[in-house]
Amino acid sequence: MFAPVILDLATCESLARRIALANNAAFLWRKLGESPTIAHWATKVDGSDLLSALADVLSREVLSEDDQTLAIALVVALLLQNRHNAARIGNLKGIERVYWARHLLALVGVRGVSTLVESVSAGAQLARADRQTDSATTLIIVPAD
Amino acid sequence: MNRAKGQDILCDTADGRPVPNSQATSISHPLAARALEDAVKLPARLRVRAHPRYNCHGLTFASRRTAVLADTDVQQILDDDRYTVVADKRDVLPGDVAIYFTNDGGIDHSAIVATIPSSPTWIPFVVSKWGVIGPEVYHLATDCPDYAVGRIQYYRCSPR
Repeated sequence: MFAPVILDLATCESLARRIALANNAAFLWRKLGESPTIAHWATKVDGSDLLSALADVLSREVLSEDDQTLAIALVVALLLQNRHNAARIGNLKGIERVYWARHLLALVGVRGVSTLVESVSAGAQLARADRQTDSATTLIIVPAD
Repeated sequence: MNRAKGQDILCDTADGRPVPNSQATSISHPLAARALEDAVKLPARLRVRAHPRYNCHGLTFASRRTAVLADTDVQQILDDDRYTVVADKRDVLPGDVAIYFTNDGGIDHSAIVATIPSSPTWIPFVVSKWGVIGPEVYHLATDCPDYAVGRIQYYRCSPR
């Protein structure tokens, strides 16, 4: 079993700012898709690990601001990875506590796979120019006890 | 009257088509919202502190009562309410609306024009809401964080 996927402080603040500015899910999708961290998760981390991390966040009794940010980041990463993850995300207990989750799921529901692939590609390109504001991924993987 | 699917409150276009809308009940990111308030610097002015009731489109098109989230719904309002493009920036007037288009034709943001633009830039001041959970701000149309300011189009409601 793997340890949770986490965000370092600078990345978390950068993503939170974009989330606070979001007027719609399309903005959120585009801006978070530009994050090198999320692009990395989407392309390099197994979907089941991302989903487990999301379920872990949602299991917390109170969702802090950082928890909300991590949850939204994980939703975007999962959807970037595979739009069919939408059903699995939608079935997670507590997902309704994340305001943007249902809007992101609805957005992806009307988009095609090609758009998502393009988004990943665009995100990867932008990631190279975005390292000033969104520091590198912090992914801790440790063996199970 | 009954609410249509996707409506937290009743809201129709001028042609009677329901406008899906959503009222958030809490600020999920209070620190980030506060940071947006703190980012407002002169000549911009903080008009209303951060709250979750409406977003930019809700301010522009729904009387500050709720959030309108989908680009398609904004476009429907522009069509049904008979908004027409103000082709020349020098003709922009207070009360017109500014729509911030992305390069792929999406709608990033919207605002209500508050001043007559002047030479040489012909960029008006506007009132807009920064995010569903952010503040309402009086600012130069092009002076706002992270929104697509490169393709701002101005519209005027012109019922026949």
